[in-house]
Amino acid sequence: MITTLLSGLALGAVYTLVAVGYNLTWLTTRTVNFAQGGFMVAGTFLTVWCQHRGYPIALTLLFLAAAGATVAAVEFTFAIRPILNRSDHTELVTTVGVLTVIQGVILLLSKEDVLRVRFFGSSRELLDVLGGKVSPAEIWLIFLAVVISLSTHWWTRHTRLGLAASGLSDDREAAMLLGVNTGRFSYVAFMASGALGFALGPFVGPKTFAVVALAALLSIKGFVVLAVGGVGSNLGALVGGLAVGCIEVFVARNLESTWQNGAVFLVFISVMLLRPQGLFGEQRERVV
Amino acid sequence: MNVRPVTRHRLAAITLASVALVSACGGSGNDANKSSSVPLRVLFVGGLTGPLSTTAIAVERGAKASVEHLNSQGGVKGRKIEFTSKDDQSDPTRAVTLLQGELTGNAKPDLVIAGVGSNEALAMAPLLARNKVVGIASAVSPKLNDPGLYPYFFSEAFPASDQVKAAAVYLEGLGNVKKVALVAPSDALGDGTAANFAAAFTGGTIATQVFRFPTDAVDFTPILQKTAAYKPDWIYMEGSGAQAPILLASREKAGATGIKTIAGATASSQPLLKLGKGQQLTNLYATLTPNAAYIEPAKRNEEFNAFFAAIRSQGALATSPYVYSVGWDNISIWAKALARVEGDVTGEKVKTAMESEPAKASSAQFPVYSGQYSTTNHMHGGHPEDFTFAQLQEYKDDMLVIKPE
Repeated sequence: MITTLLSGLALGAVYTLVAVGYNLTWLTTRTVNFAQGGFMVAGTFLTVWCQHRGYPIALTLLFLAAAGATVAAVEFTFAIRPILNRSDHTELVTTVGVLTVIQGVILLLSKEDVLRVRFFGSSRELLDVLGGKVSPAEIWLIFLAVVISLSTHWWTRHTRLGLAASGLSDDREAAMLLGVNTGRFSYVAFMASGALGFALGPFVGPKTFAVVALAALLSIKGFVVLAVGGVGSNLGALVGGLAVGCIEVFVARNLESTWQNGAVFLVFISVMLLRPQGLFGEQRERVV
Repeated sequence: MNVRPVTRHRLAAITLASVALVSACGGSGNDANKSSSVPLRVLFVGGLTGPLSTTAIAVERGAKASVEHLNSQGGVKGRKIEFTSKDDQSDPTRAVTLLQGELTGNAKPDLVIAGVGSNEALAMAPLLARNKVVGIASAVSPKLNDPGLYPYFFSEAFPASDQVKAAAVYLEGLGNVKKVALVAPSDALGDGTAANFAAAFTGGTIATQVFRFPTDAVDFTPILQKTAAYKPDWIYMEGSGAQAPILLASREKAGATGIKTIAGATASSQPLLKLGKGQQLTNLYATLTPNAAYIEPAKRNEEFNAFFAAIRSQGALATSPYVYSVGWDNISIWAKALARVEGDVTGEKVKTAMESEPAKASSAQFPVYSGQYSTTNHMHGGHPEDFTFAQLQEYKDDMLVIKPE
């Protein structure tokens, strides 16, 4: 029971962290960046690359964050900015395109389909927690999901910069008139989401391995979590992510394992029907 | 207009010139009487990039090594071999397009290595039959072993049904096994394995239960927990790509490492010792294909030494030597058949020669499998003794050293 719960929480933590990345770009540009799952997977492959070269964890994290910020800045410049003011949601297509490019580049550069990512911390393989078994990397994932989602939630609600970012999401033109540098905000938000995605590689990799095909799966599950929790709410991302992770493992454990995706999408559809703005999203009146 | 009349001499000259021109242009590919200066053409069509790239690259490298080895010995029947590769990204539609392009070109291939996956091979086999070009691949689908439908296609593989059967024979032979659980993915591989598993244990004394996991899950702990709750004496688990290491990690978390577990042939084709660690490898028995388990230097024959030297000269090995040896075998089986052909080399004659291949000598390392092609069987394998089930200790000479029991 506890092992199953911890597995579900760790899995949900990965989804939460993808959804938090989505929210970073949503708040400033109203873009759901489907490349976020690709950022995370690219981070796992680069982690292995750093480990082979014997880089310490601090240098690895710095390198990953810099690489992620650069990739995201390139994405924003060439795939998002040119279409930012269009109202037809073309960015959904271009970000999926960026995800495909990231997967293609990894496939070209990596000689192996699957790589093991060593955890940088404790050499103990599994820990006993409340009678259940959990790996140190999974504990880190749960911890990071809670800390990152709650701190970004607090940041968007209680700091000047966070409120300005939220303002961008509400009305980009009004924010510009109020003196908010929307261009810089958008760039920084994209770079932050890229840095976050890549820098999570050393934590996600020990659980998922470095696998290219995982990128699309994480992007989809992250989107489900985003919709269930409420777009723009990092608290929603945390609750939604952990719930989705737990639903998956408990359905697999106690019902039929092949129903786990079906159960998640049942929850997704139910939330969309009963509370379209998501569990923690805000309902907005449409202005005509 | 002044038109010169066609004289008898002029007509004879035109006729002779036409015959010479037709002779020079016609008869591409296999059906021409080739001189020793015309090289034999081998075409590899496979997923050199994409999900099966590691396997495809290894098979291609093994085949290339075999071609170089044969060319260094003067070629086959005095003709050198030319090797060309095309990347179909493991996409059957792309594979057919690429093959079609080569078959309609000026230099038709004499042998096609039709990818490494059954889907690619199934897509290419009808084209090979239509063009009477011999094809070979390491595809395992039993659908391909249909000489009536695909007379020019041969498979250098152990059929999936027999892989599971080999495990069933092994477990029955232990004498104390009462319950076996199968853990397999919810996809075509899992469907095939589950069907073969049911067939292999039917009529025996061992009770079985099947547990399936979703192919896109990243944690199989709940499935392994359910499996452990069934209290089997042995687990047989199968999975491709990332599923194999996730199975190892989940098996440990589910507390199932105390149950002896066979990793199926597909799961075992992954570098388990590199992807798994510590407890995850406890009581884990890999399905070892021929040439995967360590062979003492003294027991390696001349061809094996040539193979090993050739693939190592290409750089570090990315996977088990067995995968490379399949590519080597693809070429050498065809070359040996070609050497048995009398007179002109045609696709039809090579096919007939392959169907009458001699039995493998008991001490030989090649062909990889001990089976024999015939007019009714175009798939090697089928002998449970071709496989070994053993715990892994370490890599030595790029081969897997078996842990003593």
